[in-house]
Amino acid sequence: MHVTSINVCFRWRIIAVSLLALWPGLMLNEPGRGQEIGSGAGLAPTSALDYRDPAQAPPSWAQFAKLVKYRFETWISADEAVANRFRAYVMEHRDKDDGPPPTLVVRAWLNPDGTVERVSFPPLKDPQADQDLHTILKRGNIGEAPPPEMLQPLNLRFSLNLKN
Amino acid sequence: MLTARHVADDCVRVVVAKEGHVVGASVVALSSQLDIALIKVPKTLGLSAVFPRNVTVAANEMMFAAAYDTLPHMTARGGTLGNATVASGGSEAGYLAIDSNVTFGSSGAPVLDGRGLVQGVISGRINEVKLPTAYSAPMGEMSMSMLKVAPDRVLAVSAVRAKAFLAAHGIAIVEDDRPQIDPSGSRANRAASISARVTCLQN
Repeated sequence: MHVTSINVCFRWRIIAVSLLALWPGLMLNEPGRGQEIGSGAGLAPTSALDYRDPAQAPPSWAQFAKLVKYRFETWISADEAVANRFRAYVMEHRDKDDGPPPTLVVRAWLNPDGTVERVSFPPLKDPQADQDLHTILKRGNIGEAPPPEMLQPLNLRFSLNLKN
Repeated sequence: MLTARHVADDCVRVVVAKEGHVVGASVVALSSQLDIALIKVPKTLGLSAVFPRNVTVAANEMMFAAAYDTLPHMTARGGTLGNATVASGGSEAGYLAIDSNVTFGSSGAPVLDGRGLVQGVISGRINEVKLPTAYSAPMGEMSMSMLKVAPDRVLAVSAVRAKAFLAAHGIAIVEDDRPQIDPSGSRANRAASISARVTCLQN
């Protein structure tokens, strides 16, 4: 049984997913609050007001978001063809015009059985990498059902930082 | 990771496996008083456990406990809310007694309450608990008396003592009294998320 969080450190390079779990609604238009979240998360101001403060979300939502983060990290770091190709793209094209952005907010919709129904993120400049990331993030089961009352989509911010 | 002391003691190697990932682990600490041990793995496999801050469990409260290897079967069938209850008596200092049908392989598994909080770490059936030497004598007496009334009684190191053990070794933990899982959420799935198989290789 795991008792504490530690940084995930895979055998070789990884792409970390920082946990910025944001949920839509509820705090819509609350004065000031949404703006703070938006600026802190580096999101566009126009979308910032649409998010709910993660600190106000039930712990069950936060736990589920952490599990989604873990799964996404695991799937991206998997030693298989599509994930290997996506990581190679990130490695080879980072800091280039056609490379990935340093951060990427991924919106994820989860089915009641724990499978990923849909993911959405700003298109990557490389169509193959864009398709690969969609494939990777939809390929498995989170392992738990999302809390029935949890607002969706879940928004996770990817930090595309490679670690060797 | 936390596991039972008798799982990690006297091992040449400790191996942790979860969902196709296998990593070696090192033993950090073995409790001298309780059947609990701390092992270190190079990466977190799954979700971190959440312990209760203050909230406790009462007799007959529904709990969940199972061997790691039985969890896939449970989750494939839609999950399980509970499969054990807090025993009305028979606990020992530092331990939580539950009535459960857990079998071989459950040592070190978490005991989850209805909130998804870890209320204990499985040690073993009351007649199988392998306590450290300092506790072996009184345990023998307790086993005989408890066996007469509770053949399915299982002891788990209590959350309070598990937390103290971790704190003594400088391990930061997550504590919360609020539910960590939806009331209708499967505890079997949460157990699977926070657990892994620990294997002791003795040669």
